[in-house]
Amino acid sequence: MSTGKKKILIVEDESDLVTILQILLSHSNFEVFSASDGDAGLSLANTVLPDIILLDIMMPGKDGFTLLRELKSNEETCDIPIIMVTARDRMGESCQLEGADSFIVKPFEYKDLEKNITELLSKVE
Amino acid sequence: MNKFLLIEEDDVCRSNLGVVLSKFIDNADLLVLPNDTNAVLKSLQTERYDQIFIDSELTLDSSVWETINRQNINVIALSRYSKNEGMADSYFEGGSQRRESQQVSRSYYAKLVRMIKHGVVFVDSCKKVIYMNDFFCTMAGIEKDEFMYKNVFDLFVEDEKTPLATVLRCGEFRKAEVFLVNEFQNIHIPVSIDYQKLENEEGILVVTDMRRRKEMERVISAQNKKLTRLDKLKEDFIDNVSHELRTPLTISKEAVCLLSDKVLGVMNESQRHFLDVALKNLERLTNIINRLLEMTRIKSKDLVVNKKETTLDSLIEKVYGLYRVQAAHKGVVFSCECDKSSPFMIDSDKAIRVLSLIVENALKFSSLGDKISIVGSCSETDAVILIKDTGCGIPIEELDNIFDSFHQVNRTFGPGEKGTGLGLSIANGLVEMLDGCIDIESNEGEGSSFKITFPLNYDKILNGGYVI
Repeated sequence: MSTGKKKILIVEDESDLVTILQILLSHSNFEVFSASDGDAGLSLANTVLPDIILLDIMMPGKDGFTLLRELKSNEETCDIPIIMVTARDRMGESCQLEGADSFIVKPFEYKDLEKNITELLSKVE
Repeated sequence: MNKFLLIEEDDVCRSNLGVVLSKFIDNADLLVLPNDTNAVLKSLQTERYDQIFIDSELTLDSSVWETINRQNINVIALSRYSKNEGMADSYFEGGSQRRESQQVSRSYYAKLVRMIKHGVVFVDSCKKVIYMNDFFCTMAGIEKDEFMYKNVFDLFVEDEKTPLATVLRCGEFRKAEVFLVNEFQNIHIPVSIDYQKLENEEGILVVTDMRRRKEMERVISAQNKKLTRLDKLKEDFIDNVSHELRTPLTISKEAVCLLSDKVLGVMNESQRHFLDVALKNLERLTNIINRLLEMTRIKSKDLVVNKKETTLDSLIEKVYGLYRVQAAHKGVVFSCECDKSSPFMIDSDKAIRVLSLIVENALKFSSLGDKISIVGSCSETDAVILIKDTGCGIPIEELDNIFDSFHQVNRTFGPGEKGTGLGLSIANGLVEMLDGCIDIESNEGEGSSFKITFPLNYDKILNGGYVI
């Protein structure tokens, strides 16, 4: 049964960041799922089918761009908006070229991330 | 610069010797005078000569000798030889012939030509060798008479870029870089040739061995490459470290925000105060990292200039708007004024960034009651923005270093005013990208004035000005 909460998937290898985002996003009434690498992220995306995905670029193993391409080429997940998280400003353009819906540059503030998520979700609706 | 005086009666000799002396002696400032006592005395009184050359057959007035001796100037008497040691020497030394003939007149510089640590070759009007000095013979690995009356071109391998023939055909003083063939050692020596046509179509070639210079150029070029590589490594290092710092910085900021936003419960005032301290310093760290990245991007030319149509008054108004509140908060009188300008093309984001960094700098070094003004004006070719403050000013000895990365004037400024030492360096880098320039005037204790000039590219300027 749906809780009415929007589902967000965080794919990020920095566990401290995941913990904090989980608390903040839960506080903002999201149902939060998380994966610490690309493979786990892909399988969770397919089972949970989140409303939005927050995806880190630099991860051990499968990087964010590879996962982005896989998600966008899969019929089940291709419409899920994806926000890429990068520490490099100049990566922003690459993110959009690769098909990401948005990107956010570290260090970001939660309110900016929240705004970004809200905007993308309202577009989908 | 060495000063030389040549006293010589013979016109031809004066001309030729003058050419030779000025060519052989580096940095020579040579004055040639006839044996006119008044003229010589006057010159000795007004100039301080390092060396005087005198035709040994001239009789100088005793007053001239007295002056020379009093000034303790070294004198070289140029005398003629009557020896006849084959063509070459006779060419210069003139044998028993006197100055009536031009050949004799050349005899003066025979000694000089021998002394010089350059190769010297004289050619006749057909470019046949008629004299070469010992230094040249050693350089070319040939005997003195071996090449006499042979074609001078056979001594060299020409460079396609500066063919020797072109240089030798030209009446003007010309330079060529070619290779001297040393068959004895079986090598080609890179040489530089200075050619001067003399009277009656003869010519003089001064040949300089360029091996040492070429070797030095090679060493410098290799060092330059190494330094460029090291510089790139340094930039990459700063870039990577800065990016690596961003993730822990994000986590720290978010953790602090989590607490200060009361997501995990309410804190007491003291706890909240220290969280604010942490947050403020995290912001500072973010600012440092962002400026480091901005600097490395400017240095690695990673930024693209994106020109858009804008006006000077709109640029200044935006910058004024950005800092108006901050200035008022600090009790600084902040004003701006600008001529109304026609639209021109500039990367306005970068121009605003430049002005912002300079205003930020002015604010940093100003305190309650100080004034900061931005005044813009346009000439036919430039947009000029003057940002003046009445703050603490820059010590004169610091002015040259003000745009160096990480350079900070007066580091012991009050709390919250410590900078990154990158602001002005970034401003300067951006101004260069926009083909502009920054000039500073500053008096310690009185304030500073930064003049930023951007080249304009617009058709016409509207008359009149207005105050924003």
